[in-house]
Amino acid sequence: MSAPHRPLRRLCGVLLAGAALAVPVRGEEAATVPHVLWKSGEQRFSGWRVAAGDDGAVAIATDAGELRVVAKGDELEEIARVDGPVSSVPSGALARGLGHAEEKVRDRCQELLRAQKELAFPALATALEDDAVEARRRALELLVRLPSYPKLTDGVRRRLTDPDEAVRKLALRVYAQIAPEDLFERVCWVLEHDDAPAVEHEAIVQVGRAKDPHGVDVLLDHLADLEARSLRVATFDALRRLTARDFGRDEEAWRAFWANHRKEVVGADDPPPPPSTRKRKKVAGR
Amino acid sequence: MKSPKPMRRPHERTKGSAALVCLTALLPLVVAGGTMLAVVVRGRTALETELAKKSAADAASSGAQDALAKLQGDPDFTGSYDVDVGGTSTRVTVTSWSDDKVDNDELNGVDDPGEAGFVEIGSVAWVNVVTDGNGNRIDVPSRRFRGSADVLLKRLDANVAVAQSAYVDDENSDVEFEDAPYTISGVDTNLDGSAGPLPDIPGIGVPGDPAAITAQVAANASASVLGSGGSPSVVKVAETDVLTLMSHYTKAATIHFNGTDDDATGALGDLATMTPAIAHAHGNLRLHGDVTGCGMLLVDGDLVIDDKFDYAGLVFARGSITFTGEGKKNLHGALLTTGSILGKDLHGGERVTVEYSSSVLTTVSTKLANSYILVSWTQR
Repeated sequence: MSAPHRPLRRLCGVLLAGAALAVPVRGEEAATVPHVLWKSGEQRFSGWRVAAGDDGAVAIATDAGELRVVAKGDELEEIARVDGPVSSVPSGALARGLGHAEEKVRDRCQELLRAQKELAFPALATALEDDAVEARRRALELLVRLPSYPKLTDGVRRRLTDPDEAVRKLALRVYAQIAPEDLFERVCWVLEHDDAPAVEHEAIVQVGRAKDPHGVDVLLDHLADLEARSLRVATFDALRRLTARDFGRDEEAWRAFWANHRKEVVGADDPPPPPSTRKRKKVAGR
Repeated sequence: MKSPKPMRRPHERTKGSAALVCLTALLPLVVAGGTMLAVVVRGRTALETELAKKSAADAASSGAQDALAKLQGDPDFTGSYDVDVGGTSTRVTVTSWSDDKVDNDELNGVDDPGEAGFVEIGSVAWVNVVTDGNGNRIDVPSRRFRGSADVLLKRLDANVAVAQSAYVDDENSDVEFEDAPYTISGVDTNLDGSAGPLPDIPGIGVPGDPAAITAQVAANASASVLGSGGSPSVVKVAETDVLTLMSHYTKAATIHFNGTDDDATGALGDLATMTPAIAHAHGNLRLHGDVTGCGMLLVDGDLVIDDKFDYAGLVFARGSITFTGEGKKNLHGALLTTGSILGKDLHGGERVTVEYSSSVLTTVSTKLANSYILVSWTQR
């Protein structure tokens, strides 16, 4: 490298270090990420080095909030670097990386967003609407582990009807964590309309945790045409949680108990609901 | 000369009538008094009889309790002996059905295999028996009261067939530790960390499709599920009737948590001497502080293991098992749950370890086999 470049590099390094350190600390810092001044051809730009792919490409969260992937052949040169707090990495760029084609990039973006904790919420709201299933699923995985954030209620509710089964299951779990007023209604709707076993299982679990005694009506109605062992096991467990009674896995004993005690639990002026349409359809189909 | 007729005094007739009236009036009183006296005497006799009967029943019960205590010290004890309970002598007989030359269950002949493990305690007490100068009973039927207690016990079979280190009864449950480090190992390991005598068994056993749990394990780079059947060792296994096992062992529990949400700290059995105890929580249980133990832990709800935990034996849960907080968490033996196995907010980087140990399970089952389950108690 020629002599005139040396002072320039030193200057850039000092500026980068100053910029990184000047950023206010937002929350607990779990990790640091290299903030780098890059040169690619004649172009210079700075950003956070997120990950290197198997093909040698480098994923960079630019300071402009974009996720830029520079291929190995693009002669990317690192001019200066300084480690900065993970909270300073643009969350939007990381959220876009959740749906990236390269798994290493997706994993690293998810890891950094997890380290950002509550700071990642706005970016995750965007990721919930991403076209990539992987981005939506990973966003929900992150939300499961974060404290509930009621502002995401609408976005998560939309994912209850997502085309992907894993997304719907996670959405239901996050929705239960947020616990909006229509939680019980939504969970019952999912139980009635979703045929994917994993989602159905999650819905049964959430009915059991919803602490609404009307859930017993829903579960017993659902149990009538339920054959999968796993779903029956989950239903009996949900009934135990709702009633604080235990009749094991004896369906008849549960029905007898509810027939005899329903009025005292939910009130005499609250008649049992009609059988679900789902059940009627299945019975009609037999 | 005619003697003059004695003159009748004017009030003589009146006096006799009064006496008659008095007698007539007194008669009902006497009858009523007599009746009352009879009632009082009868009532007193009945009370005395009742007290004597109760005393006899209590003495018989105490005799049976004494036999239970004796069996706790010497599980193989059989024979007869007398117990003095507050001056009342009680005859206690402990018989093992397996070798008493009697067809106790009236099925399949004398001392058949179905009678194995059953022990009967007969306790008979006599109250208000007149004795001679040498203390020998004189048969006076009217003053004899008998109390008896017949107790049937069954020796605990604590030998649980463990086919995996962690049994997850519901294939759609989660084994999820939020990237925290954990080991579930089906490699037979002794309590001191040395290799155990038996071949490997699966780390996690599921009575259904293990794909979902396998994917969760594989997604955690810090997870280590070891054992037979692949890597990670998550294998489809035969169904275990967890609820029946739990309700069976609950009958022999000596430590109880009766609330819907309880906490516990300290010892659940003695880990240092490997003296097992069966602990039963009727609802959810949170273990916190520094919990050590040995034996069986039966939880009818969710189990949360917070802080340090070191346990040898079997853990059963009707709900989920969640490891959380700081401190090392070790389970030597096996666990069975109908719900999920979770790690949440685990701090300090300590690894959660669930390690199959045939030697621990053998020790626990052998020592717990000295316990008895109460089958029936008849008091007369």
